[in-house]
Amino acid sequence: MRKLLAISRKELNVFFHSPIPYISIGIFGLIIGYIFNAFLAKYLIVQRQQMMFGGAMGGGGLSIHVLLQATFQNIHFFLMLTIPFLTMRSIAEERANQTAALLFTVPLRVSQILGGKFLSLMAVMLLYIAYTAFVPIFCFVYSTPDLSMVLYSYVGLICLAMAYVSLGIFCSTLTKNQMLAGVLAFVFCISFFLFGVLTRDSTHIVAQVFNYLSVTGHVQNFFKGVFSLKDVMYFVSFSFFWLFLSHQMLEGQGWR
Amino acid sequence: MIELEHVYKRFGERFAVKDVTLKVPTGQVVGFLGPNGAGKSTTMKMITGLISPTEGQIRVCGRDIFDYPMETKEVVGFLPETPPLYLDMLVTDYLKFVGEIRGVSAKTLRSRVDHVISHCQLDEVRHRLIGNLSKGYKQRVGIAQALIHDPQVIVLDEPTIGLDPAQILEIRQLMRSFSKVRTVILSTHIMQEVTAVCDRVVIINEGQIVADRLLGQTQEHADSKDFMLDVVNWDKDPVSLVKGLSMVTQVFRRDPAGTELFVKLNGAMTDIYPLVEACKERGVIVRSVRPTSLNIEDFYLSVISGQEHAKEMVQ
Repeated sequence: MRKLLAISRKELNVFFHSPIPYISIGIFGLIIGYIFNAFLAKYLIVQRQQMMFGGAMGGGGLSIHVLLQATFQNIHFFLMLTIPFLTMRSIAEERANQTAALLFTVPLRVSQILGGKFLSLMAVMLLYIAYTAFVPIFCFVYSTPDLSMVLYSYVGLICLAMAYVSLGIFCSTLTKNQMLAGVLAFVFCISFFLFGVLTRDSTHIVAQVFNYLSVTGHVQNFFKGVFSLKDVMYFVSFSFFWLFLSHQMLEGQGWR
Repeated sequence: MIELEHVYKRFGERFAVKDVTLKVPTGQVVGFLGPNGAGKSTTMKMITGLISPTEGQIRVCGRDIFDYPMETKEVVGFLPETPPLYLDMLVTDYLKFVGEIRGVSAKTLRSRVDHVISHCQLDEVRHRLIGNLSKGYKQRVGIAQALIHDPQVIVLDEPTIGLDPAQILEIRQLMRSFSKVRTVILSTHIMQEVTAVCDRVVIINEGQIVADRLLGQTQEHADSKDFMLDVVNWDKDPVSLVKGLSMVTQVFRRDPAGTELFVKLNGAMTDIYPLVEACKERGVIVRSVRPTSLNIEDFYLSVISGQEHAKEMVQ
């Protein structure tokens, strides 16, 4: 465990010595802020119209939850765009800089290396996710959203980060080239996102399998305020699967 | 102690290392010498567990590196050809990190870091980013990294490459200071380095050990059998004439343009006189005789250029 933490600390040390985190967190916050602002404006207009026409518009009215859901969905989307850029260097850079020779000649297990990398990336992701807290805080100040729904949404975001980070680490084990690793991770993430979107309304068995494999449906439940262990299990096994494949990739020696 | 037994490494069709058997006892400093692509680095990578051999056994401190990968990696310090440095880290942070993953206990970590920093003369740069250091300093950080856990076995792949002459001397001094309880393997292109630092030289060519020779005291002893004969009548092909004599083990012309013949007497001979007599009988006129030693450069060149010689020279 001490060695695993040493790897994590080293990763964070290297990461925060580069300008990447400061720039990317800034841009990430800016985009989320802009989107929330746009949604909020729309939400306020719709709400005013509802007040003017009473129930005449039909439907049960637009609640603050719809606003939150829409925002969280967009946070999901931008996390998906950000994570490949953070994970792409994790293994690929070690190989390109030949520091992998150090990691594989010291008494370290591959699982410790991967665990350390995963942990450090999750720590960074928590920072990103925590940064979005201004959205629910704002809502709590001006309205009364359901606390459990907000909390579950955050569980969902953390699960998402876990899934995409492990997928990104796997892509980084495939090549020495960081850019390629990033693009690969991006393609993978987008695919797992789109599978769900494209197959949402189909009842065909193949479509349903893809829909189940996709992250979209599972995370949607969290955003709706539905917490089920099944969805948590999905994300945990998703991460384990990619980390396991990464482990096998690194254990094999063809690349050394 | 390091033991290699019939080690092979194949990359695709090509054997990078072919049937290498080598035993390095504790306390010995061994220099790997050989042209580029001879298999020096591959052998070192196998000893340190970075890559595994296609065939054969490797034991470090008596333990097989497959059966005990963690235990053997704990006692080995390795400097690869390219020092494995994180350019975005401070020197002390980096050494602390390497200490932690090499299993140095939390209590002794700080003193070990201080120790290697002063040993490798890194005091001036300890709080600087590794990426901003000169090549010589980077190399020394690489060496410090390999020593942080006070290893019993030290493997250094071209440790003095990229250093200026003064730094080379410092690093050699450092390597000589490794106490006698450690086993050291280093590879180099520089001949003088071998004579300056090593107890033993192993010459590798095309993946095979072509020569293995002890240096130092043993060398002086062995060299008392080596003589240079200044021969007058070269028209009579003295090389083949002298080669036929039972009292010599090796004869060759050191410099094709010169008039001197290198002769190594066999072990039983204690005097040069019978040789001169025998030469005279065969019609080879010897003008003068002087004791000599094959310096490491001659040795290397004679081995690499004519490997048939080498077989005779392997002790």
